Amino acid sequence: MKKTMFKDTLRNIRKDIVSWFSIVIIACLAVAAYLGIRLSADSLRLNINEFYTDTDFRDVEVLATMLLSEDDIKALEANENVEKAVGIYKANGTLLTGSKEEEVIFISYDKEINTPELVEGSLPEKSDECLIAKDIADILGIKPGDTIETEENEYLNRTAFTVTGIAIHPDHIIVQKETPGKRYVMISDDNFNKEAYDNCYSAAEILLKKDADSNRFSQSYYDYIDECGDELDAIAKERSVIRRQEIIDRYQTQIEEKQTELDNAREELDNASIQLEDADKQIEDAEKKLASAYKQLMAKKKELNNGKAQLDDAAAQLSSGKAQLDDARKKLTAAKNELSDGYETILDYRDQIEDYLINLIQEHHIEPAYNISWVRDRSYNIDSSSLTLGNVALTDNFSVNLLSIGNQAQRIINWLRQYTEEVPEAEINAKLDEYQAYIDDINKWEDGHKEYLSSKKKYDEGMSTYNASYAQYSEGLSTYENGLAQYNKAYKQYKSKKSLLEKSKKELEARRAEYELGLEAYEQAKVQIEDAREQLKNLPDNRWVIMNVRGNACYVFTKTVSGNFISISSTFSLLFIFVGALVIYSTVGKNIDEQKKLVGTGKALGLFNSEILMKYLCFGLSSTIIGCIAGTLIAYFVFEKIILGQEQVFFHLKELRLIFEPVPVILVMIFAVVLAIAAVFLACSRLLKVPASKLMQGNVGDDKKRKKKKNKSKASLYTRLIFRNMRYDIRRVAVTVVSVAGCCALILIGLTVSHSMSSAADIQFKEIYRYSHLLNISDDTSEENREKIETTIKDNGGEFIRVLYQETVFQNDDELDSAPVISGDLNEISEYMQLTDARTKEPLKLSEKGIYIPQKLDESSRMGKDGYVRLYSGTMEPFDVEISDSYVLYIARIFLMSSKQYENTFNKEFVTNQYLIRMDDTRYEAIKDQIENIEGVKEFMRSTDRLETFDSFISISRFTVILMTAMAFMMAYFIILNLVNIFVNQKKKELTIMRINGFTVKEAKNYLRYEMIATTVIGIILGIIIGALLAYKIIVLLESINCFDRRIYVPGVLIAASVTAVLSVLISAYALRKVKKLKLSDIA
Amino acid sequence: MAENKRFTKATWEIMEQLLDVDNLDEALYGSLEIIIRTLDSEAGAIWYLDKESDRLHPIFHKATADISNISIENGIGIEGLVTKTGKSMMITDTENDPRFEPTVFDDQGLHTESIICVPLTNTRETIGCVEVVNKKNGEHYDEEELELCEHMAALAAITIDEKGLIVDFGEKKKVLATLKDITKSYPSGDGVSQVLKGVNLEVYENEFVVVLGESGCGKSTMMNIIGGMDFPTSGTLIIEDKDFSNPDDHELTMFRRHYVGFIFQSYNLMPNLTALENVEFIAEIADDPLKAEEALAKVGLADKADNYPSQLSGGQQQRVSIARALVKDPKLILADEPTAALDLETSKEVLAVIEDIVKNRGTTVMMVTHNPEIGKMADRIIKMQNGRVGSIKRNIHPLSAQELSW
Repeated sequence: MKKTMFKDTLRNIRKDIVSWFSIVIIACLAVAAYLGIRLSADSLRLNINEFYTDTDFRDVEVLATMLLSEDDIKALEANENVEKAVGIYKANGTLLTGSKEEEVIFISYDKEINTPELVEGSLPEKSDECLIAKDIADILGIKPGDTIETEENEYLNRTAFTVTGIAIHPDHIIVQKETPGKRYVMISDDNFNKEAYDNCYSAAEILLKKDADSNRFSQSYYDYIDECGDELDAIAKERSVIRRQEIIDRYQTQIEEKQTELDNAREELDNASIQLEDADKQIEDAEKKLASAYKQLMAKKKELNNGKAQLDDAAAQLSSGKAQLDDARKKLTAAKNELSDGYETILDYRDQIEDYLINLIQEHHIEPAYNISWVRDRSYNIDSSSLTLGNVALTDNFSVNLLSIGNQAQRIINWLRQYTEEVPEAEINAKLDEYQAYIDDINKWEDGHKEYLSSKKKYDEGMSTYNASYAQYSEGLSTYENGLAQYNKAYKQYKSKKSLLEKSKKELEARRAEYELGLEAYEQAKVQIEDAREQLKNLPDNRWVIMNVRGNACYVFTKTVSGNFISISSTFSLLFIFVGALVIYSTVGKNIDEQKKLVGTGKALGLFNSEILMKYLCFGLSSTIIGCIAGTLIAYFVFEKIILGQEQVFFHLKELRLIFEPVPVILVMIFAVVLAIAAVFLACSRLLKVPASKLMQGNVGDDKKRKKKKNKSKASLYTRLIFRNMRYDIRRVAVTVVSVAGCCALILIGLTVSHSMSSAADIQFKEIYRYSHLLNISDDTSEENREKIETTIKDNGGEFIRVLYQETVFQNDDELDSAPVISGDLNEISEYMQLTDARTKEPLKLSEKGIYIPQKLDESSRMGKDGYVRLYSGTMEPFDVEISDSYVLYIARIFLMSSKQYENTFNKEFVTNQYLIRMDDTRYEAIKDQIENIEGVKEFMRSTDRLETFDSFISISRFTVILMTAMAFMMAYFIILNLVNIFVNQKKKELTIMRINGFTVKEAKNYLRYEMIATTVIGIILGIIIGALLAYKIIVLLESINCFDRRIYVPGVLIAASVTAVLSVLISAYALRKVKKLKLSDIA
Repeated sequence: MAENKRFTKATWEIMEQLLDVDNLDEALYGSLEIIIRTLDSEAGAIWYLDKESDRLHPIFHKATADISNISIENGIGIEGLVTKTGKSMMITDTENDPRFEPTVFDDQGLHTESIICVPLTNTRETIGCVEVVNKKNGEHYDEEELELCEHMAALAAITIDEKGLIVDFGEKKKVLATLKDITKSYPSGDGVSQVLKGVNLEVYENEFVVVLGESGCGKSTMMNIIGGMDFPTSGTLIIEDKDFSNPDDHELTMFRRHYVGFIFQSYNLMPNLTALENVEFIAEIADDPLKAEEALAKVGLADKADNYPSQLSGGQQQRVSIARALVKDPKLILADEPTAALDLETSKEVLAVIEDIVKNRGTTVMMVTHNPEIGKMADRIIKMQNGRVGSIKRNIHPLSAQELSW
């Protein structure tokens, strides 16, 4: 370029510096928006790839349901694509540190594949030393030098390890919060109990042969690992069969050995059975004898008892007779005493009579009275039957009969007469008559005495009988006692024999029990052997699971996050480029169009087209390239730094370095250069074809195409002019409309996508989840503990349903994937989860049969078309389940099925392990500890607790989208500013003409304003349509495994439209100030 | 020695102007210019006596001040005394010389410091006078310079006598616009560029004024100010007795809307309107406009009414531009080089339309042009020089457009 031309070029830029600067800014913003995201995505992937390369992150991990033998590992390593294959051990465990527990995986670490990167401390040197994952260290507060302990574990030889260092394992480069799962405790091989592993490995880690600079996130890498995966699949098919057969052979041998042992045991049991039968017979005889003896003893005892009863009767009778006798004796004694008293009285009377007689005799004695042997004896025997009042001796020779006292007077008189001559008969008679008054008493006494004597006689007879009976009783008693003694002796003997028998029986029972146990053990062994035979017969296939890097959650997370960036850059950001390109095109076009006279002059002066073009190429290229460079620098130093800074929190890596990936930058630069050149060529090509003279007249030559215009419209000329302006300058109008649409779309996309993410979470956690809390329990939680849980919830005003939650592996197109299956009463579940048909948006029709899949899975995989889902059991046994329907679910992927379907699918008993709970959150706080202390409870949480994890996961994407939205605002501002400026400048001459001719400022402004309004309104409408469509597309792209809110975000539409309109209005208002400042004199 | 040479040269130039003359007007004006240039004066005028009214009229003058509509009673003032007495007068100290009386230039804002006024005397009588005012270098006139002026005046008087000069003094014209000491400055780099340095001019109703001048002399700026397209930096602008010295935008817009029509060199038509619509566009906003069709017919383009500007020739476009200016029936039409881009015949067509407007519609047309030939059809020719009105020449006998040739 000639010096003067160069000067002219520079001055052309200086003259239209606003447009030039607009292009710089718009190119800068567009490139910054695109490259900022793109470079961040690339940089993230490169950082992670670098880490993976440094740590020899395995390309493939192989798992097998029958573990992997040394031969399997060798077979894998023998593959030509395999650089190295190592077997590793894994064992689940729980780390116990004070009050905290953490479930971890003990893993054998290798120094060639999946090498942990040390963050702190040193590598283990001894067997009892270990490295722990950073997550574990952070959660449990473990530092190098600490000792960690785990419970006894059949797979581990040791339960305590000294932590030598904290490390990042390549499997877990993301913080646990974002990629849940157990983290590793890395220990040496010798800590694993090889026998428990059947001398095999838990898994094999494989490093594939590849270029040193191979990128694990590139398509070529995916193609390569898929290709290698096919070859490894072939090995898997072969080796899995061999390994299975080895196991079958080994177990067959073991079964046969056990069968022999079982047969021997059977023989021994049979012998024992015979011995038992003999013993049984002996015991039976003994029992019979004892029974007979017992019978005899019982008879004897009965006899004794009878005798004893008789004796007791006799004793009772004796006692009764004795009592009667004693009573009689008492009566007799009383009667005797009474008789004695009576007799004494009689004797007193006798004495009185004697005294009288004595006196009488004395007075009239013949003989002295003293010569008479008067009976004065007072001894008598009442018991004597001779004692009678009929014969009361007065003297030895004379007795009186008191019983007939009246008659006795004569006798006495007679008797007296012997002794006295003078017997006072009358006196005597009188005297005796006195005694006549006592005759009844005398008679009573005499009767009483007689009765007494009679009773005495009876008594004596009774007494005699009693004594005789008593003697008999005594004799009987003696006999009885003798018999009893004999019985007791016999009974003792019986007891002794019986005890002996019982002992023998117990011994026999013990023997029998032993026999029974033996028999049971035998039967069990027999069943076991039968089961073993059956199991061996039905031994499932040895399934190998070959997982490439896409099977690693952290890798997928990184890929997803960076993929989201790429999605954003390839859609949202690309729109920046597109809109920017349009604006650059229109601005460059405008710059050239304004100078068409100059172009014509140049042509007239003999300049080559190339020389004319050069000036405008410099204008377009310089601004575009400078803008691109500035944009690239901003993208690299600002955006990439900010975004990587945001991402850093998710990664354990010490630092995510800024990496400059030249390819997209070069592509963008090439695009920018091509765009600028194309814009200049497009704008100039038309002009360069027009003759110089026409151009110098300001005529580009296409005006002849216009037809003469007859005014048929009823609209005012002013209105018609505005529409005609738009029609005749359709290219500018179109570019303006599309640019405004682009700005509006960019803002709408930003707002919609950002809202879509938040809204999805809100809908999921506030509308779909109709439960407030979630309680996970162990499958084996006892009924008692379940009851405790349920009672506690109910007592606190809560209600719940029970479901079974099971993390399940399923076939997602060609990859294995995992998602939870929730099964239970679907009607109940529908009360706790809003189940909406994904297609009809009506409530889901529930069926006992089949499985319900989430909407996103239905859309993103083939399963919806295939009509079934392939689920895998814990042993990787596949089950195909017919799909009933797909339902609306946003954040999570949950399969739903009825409990009946669950049992049919997995051939397992349906046991619930999760409660979906509705309760007041204040009660939750109150009972949380109480519930968590119930045995079997694993986790009691709010349903919204998982929202945080999701929020965190999408935060980068949302941040990026917000960043892009902010960029969109800026872009919109500059684009609208530029377009308005272009428009105002373009119309400057017409405005000046109008102003010169007396149009007011307002009228002149309106002349522009109406067109601006029209283009803005059309642009906004178009932008909303484009934005809504693109936003939908971007949302679907960003969704990954989730489903975001895809509905049109009406406030976003309003905001985007308002912002675009307000920006247009403000910028227009600002730009239209030029109308007032128009220098009318410039027109000449 | 140098002075002698200069004066001799000037004398010869004046003689060439006056003796070999086809056009007396031009000869007289040219002579005045020579004398002003030679004497390095700020202003100068040739006054002619109207014997009927016994008043002196400035038939030619060259100054920053416009005195063309002023007449002086014979015998009054320096010019009157010189004409009356037939004696030259040179005043070099106006402050102290008792003979000095303020001249019309003083009335128009030019302060007289030194003046020479000599009579135009033919063989029989004094018919007017010639005067020059103020030396630009601030010095005073001297006798030699007086003598040069007397030679020039004598020669001019003889020529007038020979050729005969008929001047139609007519009635005094009504002033449409008055510019007094109008200046216009623009920022330029670190300083200020003064484009108009004190313009004094009157524009009369129903006259055709042509403004001539070198590029950058301020003629377009002056026209812009008169047309309400620009503001004066200082000075007074009276239009139709209304002061527009410090107008607001609305006043100016209304002025342009209702009083002024514009014709530009580059036509400046609305590209997306047909010829008729371009005219209608303005008619729609004007008070009591002509019919657009009528306006277009007046410029002879009735048959091109539906053509877009790009479908018209330059002359046709300029005629549409004239029709657009005409349609609002303005008092003043300002035309800025309307024929610059046109060939002779087309230019004449356009000028004929303008001539017709002035003659038949009573409109004042002020036309800025580089083409002095066009000045021949003007009533007055104003020459702008270095931001001032250099001279104002009254065309004693304006030509018709068809008579022009270049």
